[in-house]
Amino acid sequence: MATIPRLAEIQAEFATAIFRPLGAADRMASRWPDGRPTAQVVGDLIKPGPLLPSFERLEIYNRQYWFRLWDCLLDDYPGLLAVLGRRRFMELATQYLVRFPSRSFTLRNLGRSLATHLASDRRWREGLAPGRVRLVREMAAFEWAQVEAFDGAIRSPIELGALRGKDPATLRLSLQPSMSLLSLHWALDDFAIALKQDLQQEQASQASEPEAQPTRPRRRRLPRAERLFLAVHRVDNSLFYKRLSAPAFRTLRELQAGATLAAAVERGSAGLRGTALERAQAVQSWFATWSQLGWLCRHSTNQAPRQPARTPSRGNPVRGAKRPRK
Amino acid sequence: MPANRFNGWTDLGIGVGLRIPHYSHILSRKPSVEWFEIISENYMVDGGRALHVLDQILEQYRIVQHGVSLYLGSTDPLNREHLRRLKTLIRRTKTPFVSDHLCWGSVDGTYSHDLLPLPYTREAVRHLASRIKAVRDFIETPILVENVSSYAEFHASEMTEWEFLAEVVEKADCGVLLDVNNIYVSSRNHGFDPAEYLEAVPPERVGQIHVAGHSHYERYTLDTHDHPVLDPVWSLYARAIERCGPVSTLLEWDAHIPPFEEVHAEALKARKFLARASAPRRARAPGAAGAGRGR
Repeated sequence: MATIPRLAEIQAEFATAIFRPLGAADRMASRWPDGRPTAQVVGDLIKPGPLLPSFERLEIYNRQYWFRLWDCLLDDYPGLLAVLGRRRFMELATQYLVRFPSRSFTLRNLGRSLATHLASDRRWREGLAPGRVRLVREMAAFEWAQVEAFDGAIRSPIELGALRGKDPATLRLSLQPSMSLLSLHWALDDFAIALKQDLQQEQASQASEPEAQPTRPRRRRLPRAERLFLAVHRVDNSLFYKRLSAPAFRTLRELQAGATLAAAVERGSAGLRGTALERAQAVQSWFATWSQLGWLCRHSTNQAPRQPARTPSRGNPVRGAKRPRK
Repeated sequence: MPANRFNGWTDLGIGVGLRIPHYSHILSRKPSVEWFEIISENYMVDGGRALHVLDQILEQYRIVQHGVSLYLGSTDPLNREHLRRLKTLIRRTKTPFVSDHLCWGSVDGTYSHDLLPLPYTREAVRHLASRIKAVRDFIETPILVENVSSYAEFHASEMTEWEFLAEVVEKADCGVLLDVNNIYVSSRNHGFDPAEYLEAVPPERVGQIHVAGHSHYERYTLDTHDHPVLDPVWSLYARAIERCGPVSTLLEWDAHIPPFEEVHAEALKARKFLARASAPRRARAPGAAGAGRGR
């Protein structure tokens, strides 16, 4: 009498099949990783059904896995899709998901390791000009920043008045954990707003003419080259992009990295033009604005400091829910 | 019994799955809905609009939590971070019970984000029962487990799906979220009689029922939740209500979501079946001891 395979063995074998990338025409790979025909391996695991052989039954799950995860990345990275084009985007998404499959119970975190993948894998760069490579990396960071800002934690903000009498040489402040600071070479904020308007128009025209033949996706213009410093943040449950001056950006980065207030201002405002009084007024004005926006919080040692070199990435106010289809 | 120890003694009536496209309608029009079911994972976040909307809806409506990624059948250790976040959300919603699926979905910490079918083995029964108990102990809230629709069956199975379901809930001493659409979809894909399945479900353990739409393809049927409920599913639902009583019922609609009124009207089709099941009880009520527990 044959022994019954253990539950863990069955699940491992099933997972091997569904996590493998789809082949041509979105079919399940015909060879198992060890070279055996997949149909043979699957035939030993899955019963044939009334209408489908074992291979095709498991193939439904293999397809569902990839279609669901691709859809999620397409939802989260519309800008990346626009700058890469669909074919390159899908190749990148597949390579990324093979290297960094989901390790979270929620699809919200699916793009968490995309910046790491882009920095450490060269395949997606083949045939791309250096400028486009940097654009792709910055877009991925910008779009992940939107995921973080959309539903990340918001701590109690600190009032500027609460800082009176504190010693700037020892005082440390934290920034809201959901906000990101990005150093960019393209006007990705303007691009994201324009892209969102385009997509809304397309959806509206599809809704008004549901029977119309789908048209080829419009080729979009690339973002405009522009050096800018951006904060991606949330206020009253809506996402915003705020442009910052280079000194203001540096100061925030220093605070985020754990510098004292005095050190952050000194390093950040270096190169700020004007008289001492004008420079002091500029710094005061930054802090007044940041306090109004609720960016500053009491220093938290639980909050991992973000390194100034961080480049990774939701700016659109409406974020779709993620759930497996049942 | 519609209210039982498995669903926290609740008798909720007809509910609708809370979905993002309906947020503004619900908040501005405040439709008369008996309850909403939320997908727990969509609200297990640190902040943002979803939690803000949820808090507003909680001021007006009863909310019940339904999960999609506990993966009670996975052989991975339980995800403690998931459980902590689930318990935090339970405190927020005061859900009388939570539900999740009789399935697995992760291996070695990698998530499929799908509801994968289990082999119906005695080992799997023991494994599931112990995990359900562990989760219930942690969250201190009753759990219902839902039968999933499936497209594959294992050679290793030692029993039918309905025998498996009955054994798991008996061993775990938990309730059933009976998805009659899933029974129908699986019956089409595996070639069994859905009525036979239904007759084997322990009626006293059914704490909630799901209905939904599905899609037929040439050689298989998919559980798509993108259509109104089809007639064969309403027929199964009618039989389920006959057996289990007027159990709280929820319509799931997850893709190609129409306006809220349309979804709610579809859910309210369940009324005529519930009314039939309630009629004899109500007729007996005036003279019956302990009567008067109605919605």
